[in-house]
Amino acid sequence: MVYYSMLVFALSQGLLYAPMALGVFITFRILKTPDLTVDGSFVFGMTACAAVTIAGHPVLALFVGAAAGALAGFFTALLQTRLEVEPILSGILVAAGLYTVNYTVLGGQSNLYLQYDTVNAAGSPVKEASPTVYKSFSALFSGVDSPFLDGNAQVLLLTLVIVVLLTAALGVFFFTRPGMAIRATGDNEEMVRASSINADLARTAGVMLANSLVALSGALLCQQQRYADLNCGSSMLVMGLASVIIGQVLFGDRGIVGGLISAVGGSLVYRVVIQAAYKVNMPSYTVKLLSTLIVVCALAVPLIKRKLASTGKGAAA
Amino acid sequence: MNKLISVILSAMILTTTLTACGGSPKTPTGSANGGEKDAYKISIVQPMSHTSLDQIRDTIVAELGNSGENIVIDTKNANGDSTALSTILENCKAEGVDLVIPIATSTAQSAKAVFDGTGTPIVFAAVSDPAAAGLTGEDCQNITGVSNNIPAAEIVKLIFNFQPDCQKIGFLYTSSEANSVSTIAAAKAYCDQEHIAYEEVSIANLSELQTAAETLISRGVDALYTGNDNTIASAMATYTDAAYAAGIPVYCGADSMVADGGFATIGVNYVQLGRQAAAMALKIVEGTAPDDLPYETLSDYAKFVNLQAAGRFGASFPESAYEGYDVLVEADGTSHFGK
Repeated sequence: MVYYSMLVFALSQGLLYAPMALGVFITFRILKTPDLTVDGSFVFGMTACAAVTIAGHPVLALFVGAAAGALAGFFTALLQTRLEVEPILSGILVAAGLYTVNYTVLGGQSNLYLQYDTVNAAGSPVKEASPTVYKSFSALFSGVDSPFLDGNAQVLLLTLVIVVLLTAALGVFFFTRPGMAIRATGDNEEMVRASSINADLARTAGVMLANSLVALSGALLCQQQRYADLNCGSSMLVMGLASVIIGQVLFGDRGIVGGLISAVGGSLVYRVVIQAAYKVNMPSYTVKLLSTLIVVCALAVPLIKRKLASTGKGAAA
Repeated sequence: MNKLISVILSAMILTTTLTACGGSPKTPTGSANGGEKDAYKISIVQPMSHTSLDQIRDTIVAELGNSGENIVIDTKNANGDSTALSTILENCKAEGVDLVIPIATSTAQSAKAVFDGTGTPIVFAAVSDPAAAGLTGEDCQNITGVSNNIPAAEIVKLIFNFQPDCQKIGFLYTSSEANSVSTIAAAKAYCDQEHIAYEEVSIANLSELQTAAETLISRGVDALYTGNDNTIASAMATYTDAAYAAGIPVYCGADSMVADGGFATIGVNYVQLGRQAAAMALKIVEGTAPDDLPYETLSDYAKFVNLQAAGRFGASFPESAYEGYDVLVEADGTSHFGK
């Protein structure tokens, strides 16, 4: 039972970060340009979501969070296409600038809890927790008293529904004309420019889509943990890349839909491994090195597989 | 296909091995403390390592260890990875911890979310503004703790104690640290009210520290103040080198920062904070409901000076200014910190 609740928690966290992995997959694998806006747009989604949630619109807040990410992506793409700034540098610049934006959205502080000022029955001012989508969803289970359907399992269920819908929608989108244009731009920008497709537009759409997914992840996390914090974006890109690469290693290269699903799978596996690493009774400062080693191993696997394949052929011949 | 299977298998083996080594050394930890099964389990979770946070943790561990109660203490550290906080706390919950002590604001907020509905008592340590952090509402029956808020008037008094003719104060802080920001915001409000001139510069990360300090100095401040700021506390040498070269004293919000080169502090005594948090935890261990324990502020502020630092910026303050201050670092560099 202990392991059940830990596993459910790790999977629910994996799903919360899955849209971020999908976003990183789009820039890293489809557009084939690493996008470092992620660390900033994740927090932008979180802060925009927090502000709207506190205003009393939890569902709208998720959309606003995603839109905030799209806006961040728009500026990154603008730097890339109009000012011809290196993609890596554009992302770093926008992420750095977003720090100020996020700080302002939080009202000049670094941490914002999802609560609002109101008066209680006795007429004295109190702080009341703002409603979130996860709270409303949990209310549906108020009559259910099963150890298998605890708070973590409820978070898991709702996030699973969102992530499945999202992955399916993306899977369909990348076979429509605009989706194909984004894929073609990533595959061969020269060819795309030579044909009648507007490559800059396709690239902009791709980066905006990716960052809106990243920001949605931040928005979901904000409502689940019920606070927004400026520090929450650190090492997000590394986590996203780790998820995409682990997914690819475990599930192989299987086209666009397979790629999307394996990014989600990679996010789940990554959180389970990290949870296990913290469970181990070793000093917690070693986990950083361990998580780096996991990513390096995942990165090395494709090469090792190729080497093994070639030596195998050599031995057979 | 064989390779795919082998990769999945090796990943599974890795995970199982990790989990397995997690299980075995745990049992001796439990039996070492009396061998009784019903030892009270307390987890202390901190977001990162640095002198002040480590001091709180060490004090709590020592105080709980000396209490004579049958307590098993487990300390965890997220090492600056904010996504790890809830993972660590979930592990604590899964292991059936009886009480959790989160250190710093976001750790306490994560603890509230993770332990929601379990009834496990949470005793936070070092949260500047528990109400703004959402730790005092009606859904916080199981949450109490110790705030590290410092009254703004005390900070300004500290500066004018040494420099009665100070014209302008410079505030330097990390904008992502809730604790530091709220201390400076309160100090600024107090200065506005008392018509004291000030300049402020915030940094986003450590690489900006030196430039920020020099910017303030170039604006003609007579004194620099930094609150209990975890980021700046980790680079006091950079900060004080820039300030002392210009002959400007650095006042700060923590004794550890004075031990690392700051001039004087009225601030959080982290040992005192740890003691108060440990005392609250012990009351809960003995059966008091957390709901009956409102959160506390510090009962005793720490006042320390660093005489070596005073020499570095060429201080010529009268003897009387030093009354009531403990010497943390002697003029020859002998440190009494942590003794």
